[in-house]
Amino acid sequence: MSPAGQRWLRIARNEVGEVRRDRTLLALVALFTLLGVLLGYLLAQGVGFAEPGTTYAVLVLQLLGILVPLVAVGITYERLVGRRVDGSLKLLLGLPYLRWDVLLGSYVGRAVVTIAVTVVAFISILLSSVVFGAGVPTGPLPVQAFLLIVALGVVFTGIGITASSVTSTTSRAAMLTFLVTVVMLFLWGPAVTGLVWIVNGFQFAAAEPAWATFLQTLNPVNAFKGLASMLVPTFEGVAGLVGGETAYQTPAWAVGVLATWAVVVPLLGYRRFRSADL
Amino acid sequence: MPAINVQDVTKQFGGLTALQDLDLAVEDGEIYGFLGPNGAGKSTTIDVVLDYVRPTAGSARVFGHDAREETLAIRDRVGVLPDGYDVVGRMTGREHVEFVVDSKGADDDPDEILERVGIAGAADRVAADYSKGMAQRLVLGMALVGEPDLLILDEPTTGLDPNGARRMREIVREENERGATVFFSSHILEQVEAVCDRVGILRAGELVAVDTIEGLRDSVGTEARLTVDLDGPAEAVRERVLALEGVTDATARDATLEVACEAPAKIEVLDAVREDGTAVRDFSTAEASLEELFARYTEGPA
Repeated sequence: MSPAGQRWLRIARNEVGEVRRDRTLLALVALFTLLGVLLGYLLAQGVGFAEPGTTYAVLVLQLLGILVPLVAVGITYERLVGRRVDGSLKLLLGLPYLRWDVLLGSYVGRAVVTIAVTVVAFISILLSSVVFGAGVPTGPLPVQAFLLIVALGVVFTGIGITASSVTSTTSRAAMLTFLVTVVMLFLWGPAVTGLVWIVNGFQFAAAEPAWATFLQTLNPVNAFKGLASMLVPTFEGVAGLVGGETAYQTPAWAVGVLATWAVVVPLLGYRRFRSADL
Repeated sequence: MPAINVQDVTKQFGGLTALQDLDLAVEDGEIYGFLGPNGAGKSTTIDVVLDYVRPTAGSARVFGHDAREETLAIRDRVGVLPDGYDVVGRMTGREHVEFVVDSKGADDDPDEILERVGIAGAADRVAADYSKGMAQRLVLGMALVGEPDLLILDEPTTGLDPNGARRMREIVREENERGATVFFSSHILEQVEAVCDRVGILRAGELVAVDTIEGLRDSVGTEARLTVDLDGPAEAVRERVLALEGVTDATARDATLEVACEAPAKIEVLDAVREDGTAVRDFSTAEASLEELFARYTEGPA
């Protein structure tokens, strides 16, 4: 019997290997290379990455902060449920693997792909910036921006894998993933505002109550935006979420929120997946 | 210790009962044919044994390991050909086998395995583009990796041409001679007849017969099928014939009466019909086959 670490790693490696075999993933890599080249060109035309407050860093964070999460859910939402529907999960689980190995291996493997796509984008930004004569971007900002985008990418990889582990048809997995993504990206704020309106006796409050701010901080996209606005002051985060006075308005809290989403949500998915009839 | 021991397993999907208090024992070293029509619960039984689904009640053990608690110990010792599978990702045939060799920590040569199941020529093609029969051969090959102590094959002949089906039976025999227990399900009797030591017949989630092929043959041997053409409607005499000793089944179709009975009862059947006042125009007899026995176990009223 092989040790647990080797088992999920083997699944993860196989997932990463799919990049080489799957044309969709190859196309994705090509697309992000192209995007990087374009961004590098823009960088060469305008101001440097490292200068705080540049519109350029904002552009990268906003663009990749949307695209990378979309890629992450796109390459994960049908990973497990697809295998369940086409029966290849039974083939896999006829081998010495546990469901946990398959879930963790798929998650880690796809997270590596998400990160790889982000790396590809950043490297081609760098290369094309050099080619177009702007030189190598220096300073901590590019690295910080990269890490932040990767963190959000991993969170959404986890969301996609989770949706994939708790549903029994691919269309339901797609619906669930779409719904969660839309809520995260666009509807979390309005939902909290709506809640305040209801609690306040169906009237708008003069100031946002503390519990509403707290709820706002729980959205990983808000955590991302808050941290991004700390890196680049001109990045429009959600007002007062990171850098406020309370414990849940600190950068550490925002990082914690991202980490919790990345870990806890897939674990909840596993609870369901563990005892599902395949 | 039995290779597979299913105890009192009931499985319900929503309101549907797929298995009802199923007890099943597959002895170490035998080839066990698991027969039943589609939907009888064969795949569900295998799913319970391999922990793909969780039983509503009861438990399953493989080589003494609990299917739910010691899943890994079981999966280490079995080779599985599941039903309704698809191949994994975009890997070639050889990559599939290599992945299984890695997963099991085995030292098989992938090309030898592919040669054995007769798809060596397609080793470098992407398996997702294989025909149904080729994919079936590939998955059989994957099941053979690491010389498993138990082979669980769910409808292994599906999609195979006659040559493929014969090769599959040869492999089953070879594996059994090596010492492996083989459990394989089929809805076609002749597939298991040629190769199995024992047969279990499943019907609507319940095991209705377990016997050796010899035993089944014996119980069939004394049976005959009698077809009687009458002057009037056969339905009129059916009840009377059915009541006779030695008659196991009687069906009436227009003026034709079909009777399954023990050989000595044939004359009594004809006598009974004539006593009823119905003239016999013609009759013929035939020995019952295993197929008919299987059909009787699996069709008609329970």
